[in-house]
Amino acid sequence: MGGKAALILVLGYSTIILIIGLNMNNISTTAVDNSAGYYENSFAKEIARSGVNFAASNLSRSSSWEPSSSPYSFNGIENLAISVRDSGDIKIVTSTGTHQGKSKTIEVKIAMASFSQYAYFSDVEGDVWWSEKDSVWGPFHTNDNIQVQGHPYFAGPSTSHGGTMKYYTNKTKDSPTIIGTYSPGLTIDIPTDGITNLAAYSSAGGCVLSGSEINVEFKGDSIKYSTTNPKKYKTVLGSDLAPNGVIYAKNADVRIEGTVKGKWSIGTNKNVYIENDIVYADQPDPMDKNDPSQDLLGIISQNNVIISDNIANRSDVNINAAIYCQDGSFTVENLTTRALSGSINLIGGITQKTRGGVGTFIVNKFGKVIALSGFSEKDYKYDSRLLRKVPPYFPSTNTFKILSWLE
Amino acid sequence: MGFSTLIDILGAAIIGGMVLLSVRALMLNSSEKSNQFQNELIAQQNLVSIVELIEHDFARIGYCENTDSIEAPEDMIVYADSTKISFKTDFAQGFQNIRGDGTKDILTYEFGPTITSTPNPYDRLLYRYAKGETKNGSNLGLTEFRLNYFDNLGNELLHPIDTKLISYIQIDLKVEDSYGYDTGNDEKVHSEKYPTIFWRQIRVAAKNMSR
Repeated sequence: MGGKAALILVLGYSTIILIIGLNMNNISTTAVDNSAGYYENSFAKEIARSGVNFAASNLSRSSSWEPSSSPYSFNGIENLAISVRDSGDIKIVTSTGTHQGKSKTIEVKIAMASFSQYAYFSDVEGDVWWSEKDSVWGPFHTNDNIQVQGHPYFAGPSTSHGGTMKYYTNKTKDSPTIIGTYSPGLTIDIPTDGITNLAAYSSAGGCVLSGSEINVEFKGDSIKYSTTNPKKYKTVLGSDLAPNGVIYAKNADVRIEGTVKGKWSIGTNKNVYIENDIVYADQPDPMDKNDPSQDLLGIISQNNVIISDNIANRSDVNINAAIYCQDGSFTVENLTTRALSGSINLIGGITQKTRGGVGTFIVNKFGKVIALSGFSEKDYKYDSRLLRKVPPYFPSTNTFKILSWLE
Repeated sequence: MGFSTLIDILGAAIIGGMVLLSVRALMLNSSEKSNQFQNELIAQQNLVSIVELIEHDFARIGYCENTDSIEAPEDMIVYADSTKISFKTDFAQGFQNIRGDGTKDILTYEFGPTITSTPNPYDRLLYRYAKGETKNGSNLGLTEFRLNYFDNLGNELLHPIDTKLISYIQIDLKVEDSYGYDTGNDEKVHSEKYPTIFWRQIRVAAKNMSR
C-alpha cells in the first residue's frame, strides 16, 4: 500500500516537473522567437533601405534606369524587389526587402535636383571666412572648405560641403549653427554642359539672339530687345518670342533689366550684365515656399553675372532671380573703382564657380568697417519657392533629391 | 516483524521523506523560475511592441503623402523635451495602406504618470496621441522613457530644446514587469522581483529630416 502511494507521489511530482520543464522550454522558445522576429523585421527593413539607395544611385547615373533585374539577390536569395515609376517630374521608388518570411516595403519619392534650389553654391571659396554676421537662409553648398569665424548661421534646410570645416580659432569658439540636414564631405560638380544644354533648348521652342550688343528688357507680358549697336529696339509678346521661356544670347554679352512676368531663363555663353533692377511683377514672400506668384527668372551665364557700373545701379539694385555662373562669379563691374552703390537686394539664389566680390572695405584702427567701393550692404533673401520650382531648363545637378521617405 | 525490519521501514521512510522533500524543493524552485521567465518574456514582448511602434512612428517624422506639404527639416519637430516629443507626420490610412492621406498631423509621445493599480511602484503610462485627440496611454510596464537630442555637429542639445536644431534623437527605454513575482519578499531587491529590460536607440535620424 505504502509502496503504491510512494509510486503515485513520485509519478505526480515527476509529471508536475515535466510540465514545468515544458513550460520553461516554451517560454525560452517564445523569447527567442520574439527576439528573432524583431531581428528579421529589422533585417528586412535594412534590405529595403539598401534597395532604395541602390535605385537612387543608379537613377543619378541615368535617369532612365529601370530595375530590370529585380528581384535582386541578397546573400544568394532573391529577396529584394525594386520598382520605379514616373509621376510627372517625380519618380517613385518602391523597394521591398524580405528576410526569413518577414517583408518590409519602403516608398521614396525623388526628383531631379537643379542648381536653382541653392541659396548659395560655390565651387571655390578662396580665402573667404564666414563670420558671426553672416547667415544663409536656404540650401548651402560649397565644394571647397567652409571657413568659419565666430558663429555664422546656416539655416538650411540643407547644408553641405566637399572640403573640411575650418575654424578661425577652434571648434568651440567658431562652431557654426547649422539647421536642417548637414552633409559634410559631399562634392557636387558644376556641369560643363549647363550652357550648351540651355542653347539647345533655346533652339527648340525658345529664342536665340545674336548680334554685336544684346539688350533685353522684361516689360511684363512683353519683351523689348535690341541686338545692334546703336540700339534698335523691338517689343514683342514674350510668349511669341520664346514659347518655352528660354532666351539665349549667342556669342555675346547680354544686358538685362525690367519687370518679369511668368517663368523665364535668360543666358549666354559670355557674360550677363544687370543694367538696372530686374524684379518680379508679382513679388513673392521669400519665406513662403507655396507663395502663389508665378514669376520666376533664371540668369544663366557661362562666365560672370555682373552688376553694371552705371547711374541706375549707384543707389541700390534689386534683383529677383536664381543666378548661375558656370565658370565665373556673381560680381560687380569696376569692383575697386566704382562709387559706393548702396545695397544689393536679392530675392533668389546664387550658384557660382568662384565666389566673387561686390564691394571693398577696410577696417580702421577703431575696428570700424569703412566701405571703399561698390556695394557696402548685401540683403540676400532666399526665394523659398526655389525648393520646388525651377526656372525653365535651369542647369541640373544631375542628382536626385529625396522629396519624401515612407516606411 | 523483527527489530531489523522496523529499522528498515524507518530508514526507508526517512530516505523516502528526504527524496520527497528534495523533489518538492525542486518543484518549487522550478515553479519560481518558470514564473520569473514568464515575467521576463512578458517584459520582453512589451518592449518589442513599444520599440516597433516607436520605430514605425519616428521613421515617419516629417513624412507627408503630399510632397508639397512637407515641411523643412527644422520645422518637422514642434516640441521636444526629455520625456515628451511632438512632431509632424501623416498617419497611415490603415494596416494595409501605409500611405498617409496627404494631410499633416501632429503626433505626440509623452511619458505619463505613475500607475498605482499595479504592484510595481515605478511603471508609468506611455501616451501616444494626435493633436486634438484625448491622451491614450497603455501600460506596458515602462519605467523609463528618456529622449536626448543632438545637433548636426553631434553636440547634445541643452534644455530647453531648440527644435530647429534637432538632427538626431537618442531614445532610452526601460521596461519592467508590472506585476512581478514574490513581490512581498523583503529579502529580494526590486530588480529581482520585477524583471527589467533596457533598450537604447542611438541617434535616430528620421529619413525625411535628413533628406
